[in-house]
Amino acid sequence: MAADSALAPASSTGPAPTTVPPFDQVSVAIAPGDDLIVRMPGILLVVGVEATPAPPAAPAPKLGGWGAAPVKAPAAAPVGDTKVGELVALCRRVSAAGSRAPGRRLHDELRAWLPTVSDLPSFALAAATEEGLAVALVGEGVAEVPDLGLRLTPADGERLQDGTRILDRLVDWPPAPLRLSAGGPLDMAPHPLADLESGVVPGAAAVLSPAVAPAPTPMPDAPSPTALVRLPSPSSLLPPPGVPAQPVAVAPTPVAPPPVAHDHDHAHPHEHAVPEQAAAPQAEEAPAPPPVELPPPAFASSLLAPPEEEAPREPLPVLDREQPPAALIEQEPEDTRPKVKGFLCSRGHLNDPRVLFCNLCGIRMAERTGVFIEGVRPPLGLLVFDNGATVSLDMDYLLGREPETDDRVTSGQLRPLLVVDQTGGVSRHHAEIRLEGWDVVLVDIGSANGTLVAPPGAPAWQSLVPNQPVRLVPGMAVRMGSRQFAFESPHGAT
Amino acid sequence: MSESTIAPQHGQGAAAPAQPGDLNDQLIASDFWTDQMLAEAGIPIIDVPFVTVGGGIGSFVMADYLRISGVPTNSIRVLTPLKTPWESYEYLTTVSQVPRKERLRSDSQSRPDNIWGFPSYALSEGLHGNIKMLWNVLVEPIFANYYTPKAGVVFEGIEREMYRIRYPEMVVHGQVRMVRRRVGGGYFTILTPPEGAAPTKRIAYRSQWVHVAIGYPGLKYLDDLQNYRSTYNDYKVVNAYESHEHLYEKLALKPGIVLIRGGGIVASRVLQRLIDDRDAKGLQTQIIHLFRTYTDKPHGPGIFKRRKGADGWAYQGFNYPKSVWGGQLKAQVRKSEGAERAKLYKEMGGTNTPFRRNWLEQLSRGRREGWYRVMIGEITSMKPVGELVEVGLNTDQGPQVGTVDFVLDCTGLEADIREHRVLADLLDHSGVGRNPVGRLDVERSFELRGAQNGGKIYAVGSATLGGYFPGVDTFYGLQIACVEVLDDLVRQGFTKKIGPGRSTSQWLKWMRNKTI
Repeated sequence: MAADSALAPASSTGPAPTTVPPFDQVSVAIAPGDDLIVRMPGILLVVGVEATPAPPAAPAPKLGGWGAAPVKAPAAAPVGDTKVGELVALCRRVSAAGSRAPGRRLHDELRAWLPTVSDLPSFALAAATEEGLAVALVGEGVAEVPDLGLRLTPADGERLQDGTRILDRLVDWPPAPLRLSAGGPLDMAPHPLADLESGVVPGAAAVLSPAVAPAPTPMPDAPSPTALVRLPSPSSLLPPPGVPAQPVAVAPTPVAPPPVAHDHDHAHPHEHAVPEQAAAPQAEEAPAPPPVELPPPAFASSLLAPPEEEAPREPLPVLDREQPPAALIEQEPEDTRPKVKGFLCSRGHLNDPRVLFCNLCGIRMAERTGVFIEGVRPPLGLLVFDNGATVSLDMDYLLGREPETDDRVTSGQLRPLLVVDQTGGVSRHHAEIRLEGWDVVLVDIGSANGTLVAPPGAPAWQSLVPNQPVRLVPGMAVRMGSRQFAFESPHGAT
Repeated sequence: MSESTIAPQHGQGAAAPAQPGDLNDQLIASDFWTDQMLAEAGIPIIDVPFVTVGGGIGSFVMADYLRISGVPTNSIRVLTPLKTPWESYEYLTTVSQVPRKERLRSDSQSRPDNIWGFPSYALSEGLHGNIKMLWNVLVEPIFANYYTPKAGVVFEGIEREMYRIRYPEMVVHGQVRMVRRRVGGGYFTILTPPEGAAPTKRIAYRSQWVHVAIGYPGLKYLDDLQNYRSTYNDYKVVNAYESHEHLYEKLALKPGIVLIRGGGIVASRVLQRLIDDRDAKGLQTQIIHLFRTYTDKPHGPGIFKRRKGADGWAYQGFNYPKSVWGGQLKAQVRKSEGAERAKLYKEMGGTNTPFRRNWLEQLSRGRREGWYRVMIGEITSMKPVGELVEVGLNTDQGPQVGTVDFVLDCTGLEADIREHRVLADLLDHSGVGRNPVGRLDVERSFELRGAQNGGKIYAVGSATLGGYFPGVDTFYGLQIACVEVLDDLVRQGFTKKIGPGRSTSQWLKWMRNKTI
């Protein structure tokens, strides 16, 4: 598990800020309380502990859990914490899987896990997705944005088999602090400086505030203490050797005060169970692999992060007005596409000298004095066939029933254009369409039944003289056999 | 009407050796030119008192006024790349679905071929048998839509007047490269004749007055349309101001979906064409209309400056509120300066379209029957997918992707005046500035402020939008501007005032179509 060792570095000594997703830059303040708050890369979990049925055997200290004998606590680890452990393990597995935006995956895993357990603890979970946040609320879990008056509860979610309510949603990052709680009493607002970068602490609520956490000073030696915090693994209850016994209190930054201030009478398994079983086996059996740098997110929008500073760029070269067109024309000296001489518009687009407005950008062509420039010829127009098919005229075509049998088609000089005619009125090689300069020319190449043309508005068809080219003007209709097509040109030259 | 001079022959040597009489660096860099400098460059000089640059309807109206006031044809030169004064206008109206038989959608309460405005288009039409039009102008806009003439009638009228005033004698074809001030007074206008039409590459016209009627600096297609066109070389995404007949043809052959973008006058006309085709040929065309700004109710800055609006459209009879012609808005703008004027223009500006019952009926029928749908948002991506275009939209209901047969863009913008070479040169070298709206800064007499040099440069048309008179880019606006220029020229002694006597006699000549 990469995260086992990379947990802390991922947020504290992570890579350059540009690749850190915003979720891990957001500061998380902890309001004091009895529930458990877990933060790991991409995921923030508030899980209600008191909601789990504490075993009656657990001796509940009357006041302030600190007074109780430490040895007793592990033995009294409530059964309900198994589920908390499973939940946290699940989160950790997803977080460690490497995605910076684990929200959707977590959602899937959670969906698979939920039916397998009953009597769920209340929890509220927020995980980063590529667009925003995935929020899951179970039982008493609440997500709210107090500044905006927004509030999500599982009440309007769905009901599981055992009657627990669950709500999961994909939401946008709110522009104000988002508070997650598992339904525990909220007695005190979080300390303004409180910031949980990573780890597990007790608390009533976690507040994701849009203010970005100040860049933490990198810790030269070893991961921060929270990195070694392990949640109670159901299987291992042995305290890890060499692990400080009070990791919860050793949050990296000022965290909520220890929960002694509370006058509560339930067990505090988390306070003891957490440190003492914290990750002993894993820490030993997994000799910290080097921190794996997670891949950058596909998309990280950060409303909260400060705008990234771009590296200074070289200024663009200053060109006078004449240069860009020349550069456009000369960029491909070995270009074999057909060339044509035309006028450039003031923005450098090659045009038919006869048009009034540039075909590409619409600027009036009367702005440059007419100097012929050779450039790659754009398509000169379209043929719109009677069945709705359109053909863009970017090179010469051979029209006919079997145009592919012509030598010039096989040699690539002409492009075949199959004209299917049920009446047999179209010859095998019927006519050619040639692009000459800026003109489109139609030639009947000795077809059996001839070719008819009708200029726009003409009352009748005219028959083409074989091998005599005719210039097509926009709107002209052409008929061969029972088929018909029209020539249209956006160039507008008539 | 000559057509030989404009269309150059193909296949001529492009890399011809430097022709004699070209501009040199010294000329290009100097704000003021002497006769000597041009002589050294080998550019011939032609003297003519009055030169008008552009050759569109603005130049035509100016020449019309001058000829009627008695200026001989050899005192005026029209420097133009256009074959006829209406060529550019007709191109734009035709491609935007107002062919000669259709009625124009913009203001035409004056007529460019008749400086008196009498008989008006509506009266002419009535006298020619269409009595309904007389009734129309009597009761508009309450009981009938505003009257507008057919495009063809306008062009034919201009053609008739063009020969009457012997306009072709004044025309010189070519591209105007620049206008510069002359040391000692007056201006040089550099013309580049078509290749082979003159022995030198450039010709200089030395004149005391220059009239710049260049009109729209151009259209500007949106960047995404340009990108699509240059990336895919494909014409399934078209602008309404370019020829897009293939769209209608294909839809007539095969049912399809058209995405229309824009809520202006062109969009309304294009919709009408699509629905007319649909009705006439029984087509199954589906229309999606994308508005960026959706107007659902009357709006405006004050109770007296409100504009009707509904279903996404902002309605207004013409481009401008009626009061710019003679009402309070005209007076208000005439007195305003700087930011205040810019604000007034902003208030009266905005995309709008005339309220016309026939196509509004068509649209409501489309909404009812489900083949006309409206979305609000913007296009984020376009790419061809087979015979279709896949369009990504960012709408008010979130991002959406769909495929359509055609995207028809009716959102042509006007380009910046600097994009026009002659106007940019005026800004850079002739001391001309910009007005609060960013166009050429003109005086109330339409003289270009800052360019006086023993003579004057006048500018009319849309390049001067934002001046003391709004509505400069309409027929009536052009005529008003040209009257102001004429009055100014009369004050300088170039021509005589058109008094009541001359006006009457000239009008009688106009009525008899007598050449002057």
